[in-house]
This record gives sequence, structure tokens and C-alpha cells, in this order.
Amino acid sequence: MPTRISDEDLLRRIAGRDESALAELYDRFSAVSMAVASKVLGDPAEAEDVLQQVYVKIWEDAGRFDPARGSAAAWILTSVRNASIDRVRRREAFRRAAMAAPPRDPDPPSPDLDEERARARRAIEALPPDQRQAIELAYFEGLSQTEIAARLGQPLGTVKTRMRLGMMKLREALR
Amino acid sequence: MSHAELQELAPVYALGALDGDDLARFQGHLAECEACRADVRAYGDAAVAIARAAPAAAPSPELRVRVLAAVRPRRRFWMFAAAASILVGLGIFAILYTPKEKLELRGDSTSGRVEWSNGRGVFTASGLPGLPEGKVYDLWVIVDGKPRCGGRHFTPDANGSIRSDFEMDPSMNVEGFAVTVESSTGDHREPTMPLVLY
Repeated sequence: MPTRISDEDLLRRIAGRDESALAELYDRFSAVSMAVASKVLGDPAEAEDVLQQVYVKIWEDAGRFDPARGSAAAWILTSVRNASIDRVRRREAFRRAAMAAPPRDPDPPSPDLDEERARARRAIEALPPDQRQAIELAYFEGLSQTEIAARLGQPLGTVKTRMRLGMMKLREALR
Repeated sequence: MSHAELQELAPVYALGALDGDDLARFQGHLAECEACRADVRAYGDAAVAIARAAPAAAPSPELRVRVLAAVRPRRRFWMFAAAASILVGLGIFAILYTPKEKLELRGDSTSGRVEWSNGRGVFTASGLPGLPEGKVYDLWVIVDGKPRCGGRHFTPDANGSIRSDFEMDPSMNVEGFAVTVESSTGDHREPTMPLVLY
């Protein structure tokens, strides 16, 4: 089996101005990036604008990626998530009911990611609903622990515990 | 705060949801604790799983064109600029020597070039595969990150080469060009793919 170049090496090549490496990185991450941006924004056209902005930024900032702080996937998807949430905040002064948005299945084919996606989905679905809810509010709506507590009408300590336990379970499930 | 208490903040920090005193304390601690930095890395990957579990949504093929066109350097060749300034000095109309722009296009086994100025351009390419009946190559102008103005059909010669003059609105802020395969009867308002050169 041919060795697949790592995501981290792709970022290094992008930092060295290798356009084909950006194309490869885009092909690996555009589907999951689009899923995150669409979930946050609820609008495919806006999601695509965010993706364009983020991938051009990756081209410019790839040299700043620091593997000591996390994986390439985490870096890329955090950028997508943060840019999407920034867009929502600029767009709307009020909070969106993104959690109520119906899921947009079925999945388009993306062979490399299918297995990882299935695994991720199983891990998320295995979480107790209150833990999953708190985590998704943080991730997709960009709410802080205090904001989540206010939104749910729960004590801050309870919300912190739910997020912590949920994240620990996810980490364990993906080990 | 004890180390155990600080360590409990790592998963929420990785989610980006820490705030207030917790955030300030944890950030301060993170700078000096490799164990917590490692935790944050691991929880960062757990956060990737949240992303991967999001309902699928596919970006349009066009977005790939836009992204790759956006990072391609535009090379301006101020041809004759120096000569023109001398000629201005001599009282000869410099307008004869309008600066020309040039962009190299690339594809899998194909390469091309567009040169343009003042709304007139020349597109040249080689190595273009032959097309089945009813299909043509189409040259798109990328403006504001979006392909515009299709309908510039062309068919390469038997060697897969093309040289074609075209016109476009000179006021457009051209960011790039792309070539796709289109149906010869299509409306050419949106590229349908596949993308051959960009």
C-alpha cells in the first residue's frame, strides 16, 4: 500500500507554496469543512464563502501551523468552525436555533472519510443526550460554558461537568 | 487551584467554551504544563470527531475552482512600460503600449496561458484531450471568486492545441481563468465541469 502523505506534511508543503498540496488538502477536508460550516450557518452559499475564505487563509498561514498544539485536522476544522461562527455573529444579533435544523442527509460519497465519519458519529451518538447537547452548543454555536448554562437554565457547574464527561468519553471512544 | 482542578478544564478549553476566570487560569497554566498541553491536543482530536459527525454537506465543484484560482499568483507583466515612459518623454502616444496581463493555467496533462488587455485576450493551450461529439471546451473568467461569462467555446486541433482570440468586458476585475468541458448546447451560465485548466 502506498504511503499516504500526512495532513501535517501537506501543510508543510503548502507553506512552501505547493499548490498541488493545497488541492490535496482541500480534497481531504472540504466535505467535512462544508458539513461544519453548513451546520453552523444553515446556508450552503454562506458556507461556501466561509470555506473559500478559510482555505485561502490556510494557504497564507500554513507556516504558522504548530503541530505541538494539535493535529492538522484540528487546526483546519477549528478555523472553519471559528470563521463560521464569526459569520453567524456578524449576520445575526440573535441566536440561531441551529440545533433544530433538520439534518441534511444522505451523505455524498467521500470514501476516505466515510469510515472516520461513521466512527465519529457512533461516538457522538453514544453520549448521553445532555452531554451531547452541551458539547454541540459549544462547538456549533460557539457558546461559552456560562452562555450554555444560561441557555439551558442549568447551574454552571452542571454544564461544565457535562461537557467534561462528554469530551472524556469522546476521547476514549476515539482512542 | 490544584493541578487536578486545572486539568479538568482541558476538555472544555479544547471545545473553546471556557470563559471568565477559568479561561484566564487555564491559559496561564497551559504555558507551563506539558501534560495539559498534551490533554488539549487529545481533546482537540475529540472535537474533530464532533465536526466529522455533522450532517454531510458537499461543497459544489465550483468552489474548488474558486479556491485554487484565488491562491494562484497573478503575474503582471508591464510589458513595454519602460519603453512607453521613454516614448512619452519623446512625445509619442504611450497608449499604444498598454500593459498586458498574463496568467498561466495548469491541468493534469494540460497547460495553457491567457494574455489579455483592454478587454481583448488570447487563450493558448496544448495537450487538450479530444472531446466526444456534442462537447466543447469553455473558457471562464473568474471575477469576485466566481466563474463568469462562459460560452467561449473552442475545439482544439488534432494535436490538442488551441489558439483563440476572445473578448470580455474590460471593466471586469479579472482574478483568473478556468477551462471546463461543457455541452455545446448548454446555457453556460454555470460551469458544470469537469475542470480541465485553472
